[in-house]
Amino acid sequence: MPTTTSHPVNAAPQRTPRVGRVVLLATIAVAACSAYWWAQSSREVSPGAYAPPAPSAAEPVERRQSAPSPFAASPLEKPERVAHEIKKAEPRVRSDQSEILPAMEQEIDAEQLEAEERARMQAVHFELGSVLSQEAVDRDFRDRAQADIDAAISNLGSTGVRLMSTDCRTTLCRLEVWSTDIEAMSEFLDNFPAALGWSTDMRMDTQESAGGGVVTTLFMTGNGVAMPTLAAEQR
Amino acid sequence: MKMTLTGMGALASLLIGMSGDALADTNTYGAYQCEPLNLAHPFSRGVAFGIGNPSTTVAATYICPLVRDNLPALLPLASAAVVVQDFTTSGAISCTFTSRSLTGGQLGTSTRVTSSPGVGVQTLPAFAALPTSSTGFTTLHCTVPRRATAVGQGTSRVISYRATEV
Repeated sequence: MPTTTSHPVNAAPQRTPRVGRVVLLATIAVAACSAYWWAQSSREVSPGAYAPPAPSAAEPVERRQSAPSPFAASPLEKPERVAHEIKKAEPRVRSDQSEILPAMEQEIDAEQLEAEERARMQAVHFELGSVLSQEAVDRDFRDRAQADIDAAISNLGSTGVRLMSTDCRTTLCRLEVWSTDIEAMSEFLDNFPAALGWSTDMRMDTQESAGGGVVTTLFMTGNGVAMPTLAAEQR
Repeated sequence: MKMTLTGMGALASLLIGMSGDALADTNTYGAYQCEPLNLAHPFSRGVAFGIGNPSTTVAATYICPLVRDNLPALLPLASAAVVVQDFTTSGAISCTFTSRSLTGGQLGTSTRVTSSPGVGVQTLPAFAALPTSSTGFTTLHCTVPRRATAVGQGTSRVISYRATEV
């Protein structure tokens, strides 16, 4: 029985190495791509990565969908999360298109970016205000915090800076600080944490005051207390 | 065939290796790079052991350089860790990691202090991740109390620090 004729491999003995090589190379290429994809995917959910975005009333503004950003980069050059967000935020365009964007459009883009970040910070403060308002007042914490804050401000001896209000509850405090100018305010904010002597996390927002000067709204956690996870910061 | 296989295997390893390296966006710095905030802040500097406060009378603040990549908007969260040597019994070493806008305004800070003074080398408790502006920058500054005058006390100092993006 001529079994050799019915076996395709034996029927075309000269093509075997080429076909086998092609199949092998294709398999290896697919395996390499899969391994790369797997590495990227596993990184996305690895410990220490970001918590999944939680639904929030203070949802950040929509990502812009217009022009490409000058920050575009290849996934291998930036962390995967960044690459993912770039892909999500921007329409697919050829790289040379970003070079021919009119200057005005890029300027508008920067303004839009700034507006989005501004809105995001406002959302963070709105959310922190909401968290604070839901906390009960712990009198011990409130009194100790108030004493420490007063002492820190006194020790700093910052001229032109005034504490307008303090609201400390259980884990969070909200301070309003007024200053004659932004420079004095910035210096105060840089020195205040060390003067306080707490391990604390803060979020601050400085605005021009209607009556002149600037006002900073400052949320800070109690000594040794971590800042709550904010949906507005997680996106 | 064997050479092709080896080459493809090496390529796959390279791809995986590259992706891992690129994803870990943490940089470590020696605190010898830190500078006193201004001339009123005394310091002693060593290549190996960073920057410290030799004064027995005043505290000193040091600001330490951080490099930040330009990243897309709304994305980055940064965090940091600092290794210090705390010999002081006159107060705690305090380090503040700050996220700033392009114009310098503070968006958020995370401050950590040594909890047990005088115990020597320690890593400050982990700093909280901070929101950052796409065009902003981050700063790290540490305040080191005056040196204790008791016999056997050394100079408290900042030795090294690291910062992570995204």
